[in-house]
Amino acid sequence: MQDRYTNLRFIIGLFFFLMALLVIAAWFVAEGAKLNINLYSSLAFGVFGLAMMFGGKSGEE
Amino acid sequence: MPDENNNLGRYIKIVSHFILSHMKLHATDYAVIILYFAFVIAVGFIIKKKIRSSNDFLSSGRNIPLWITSLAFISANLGAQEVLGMVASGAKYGIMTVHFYWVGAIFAMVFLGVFMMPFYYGSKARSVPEYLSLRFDEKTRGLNAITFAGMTVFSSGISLFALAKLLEITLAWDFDFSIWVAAGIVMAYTFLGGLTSAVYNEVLQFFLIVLGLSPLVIVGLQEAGGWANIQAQLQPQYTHAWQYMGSADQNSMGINAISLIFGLGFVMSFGYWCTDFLVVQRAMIARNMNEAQRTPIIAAIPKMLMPLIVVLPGLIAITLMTPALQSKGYSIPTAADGGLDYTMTLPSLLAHYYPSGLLGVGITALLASFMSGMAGNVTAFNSVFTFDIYQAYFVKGKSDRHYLMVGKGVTVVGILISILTAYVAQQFNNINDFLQLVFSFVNGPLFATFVLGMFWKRSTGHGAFYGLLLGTLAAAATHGLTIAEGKGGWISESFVIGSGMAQAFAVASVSFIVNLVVTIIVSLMTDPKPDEELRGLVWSLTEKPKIEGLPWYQKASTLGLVLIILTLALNFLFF
Repeated sequence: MQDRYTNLRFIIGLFFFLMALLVIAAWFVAEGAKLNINLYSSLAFGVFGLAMMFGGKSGEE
Repeated sequence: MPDENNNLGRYIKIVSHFILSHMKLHATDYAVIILYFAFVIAVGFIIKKKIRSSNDFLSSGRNIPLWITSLAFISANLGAQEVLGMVASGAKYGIMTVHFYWVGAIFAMVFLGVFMMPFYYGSKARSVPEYLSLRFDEKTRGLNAITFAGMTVFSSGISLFALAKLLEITLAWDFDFSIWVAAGIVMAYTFLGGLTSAVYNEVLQFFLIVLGLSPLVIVGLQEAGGWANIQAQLQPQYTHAWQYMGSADQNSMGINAISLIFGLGFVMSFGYWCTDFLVVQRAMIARNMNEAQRTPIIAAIPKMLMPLIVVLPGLIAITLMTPALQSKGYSIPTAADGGLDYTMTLPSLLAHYYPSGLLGVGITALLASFMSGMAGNVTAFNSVFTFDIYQAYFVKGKSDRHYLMVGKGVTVVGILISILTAYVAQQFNNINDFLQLVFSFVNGPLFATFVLGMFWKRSTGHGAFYGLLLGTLAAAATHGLTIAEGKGGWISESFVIGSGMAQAFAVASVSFIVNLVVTIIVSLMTDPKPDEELRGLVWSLTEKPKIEGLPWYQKASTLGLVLIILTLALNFLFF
């Protein structure tokens, strides 16, 4: 696997990043989003996703 | 691994009902589920381009990096039953549940890496049954291959049933439609990408479960007032792993320390982690011997910490129900008999603390674990059927392309049998119990065959075959002669055992000892293979892997020792 965009690290990272966007959307949309668990969790998912996508060396599995 | 909560049919019925009545899913929750489905299929398409040979499809070309093999190794065991069951046990038995990790897993995983992987990997066998063929003979391989293939494809069907049932509930689909869609998704990525695709998705599943459940642990711990308050609120039996193991009467698990250490810590644990091809296969696809050895040892690190994710929530749940914390408004749902329904601990915590969005992540984690359980079984079935049954006994000497096509065909057949089994599971609630039982009869004695095969060059094929056969029959007989919590005793109720768990340990221990004794006796009466044929297969005749010059963390033995010390320290810390 030499292509950055098809290696597992990138795939997992992208999945978590997109999932973070969905959860943060839920936080925005929800009425009186008092519970910050959605916000904190989506930030954690997003950071993890970005780290997985861009943290490794290019093309490294 | 044994767990009295391990009844899938019951889980699914109750969990499905709970989701339907207590969890209201919104568009974002559905979007998370759909996103996950899209990604697992995309992984299949990406991997498809890399598949060139039967070896790529069935053994991943032995080219998978260490971090992936390690996480897939741990993930292959992290099914929804494990997650739901351990949270339930955490609520019911407290911290004693950690024995399934700190006694029943880490030591065996280190042993596999340090002592057994050199033979599995070094022999160039493509499967566990193939190692048995090289070390012993064809009949021992055949016995193991046929029982393993049968069990895996049926287990796959039961995971499919669970998966379809959850889809039916969460997405409000018809059950038949759910079965075909669930089977279609799993078939899409296993047919396209074979073992590599299944392994990649297992890694994704691992992160989904760990990161998806971590917020629950953090919030729950905060609500329960931290570990100090959990200790203060609960009875001491709930927060001490060993202190009440002196006799079976002192603890709610109904087992004492000796039977726990021998039954779970030795026979069952080593029998499962060191010989079950479903998990061992993940180490056999590593890039080299060193990484193959380190795979189960690196996997032991998250395994050691897994109680934080799956046992602690159970303890949190039961603490939240103590008088001092009743104002938090959480309680484990009650069962029809009025008692607490521990099976519902995790879903009820998710429903209580996860808002829409994160709830979708939690449900997706459950779906992912069922899906991964099915795919893992199908890919193990593929390899064993193609290499150890079809190629070994029916059609030898054909081209690699022929076996690649057979492997792909077997994927489809495996999925179709799974669909059939899923419908059977729908009709018979106890089919999973029955299969788990047969699995324990088969897996229980197997470790004796391997330990003698790898470390005693005098053991023979006849010894291994009859030892395995009689060990399996001894397991069945022990179950038939003992009764615990209404289970067993189908020959006669000669012995009453305090708990189902203690009965499982007894079955495994007897079958192990019978296999060991029979193999030794028959081996001494028959001729062994010459030494030349056993090089690379037996400890005393095999050159040990060279590790000089490697840093400590790249040496399987040093890393294993560190993990054992850490595990012992954890046992003492929570004594």
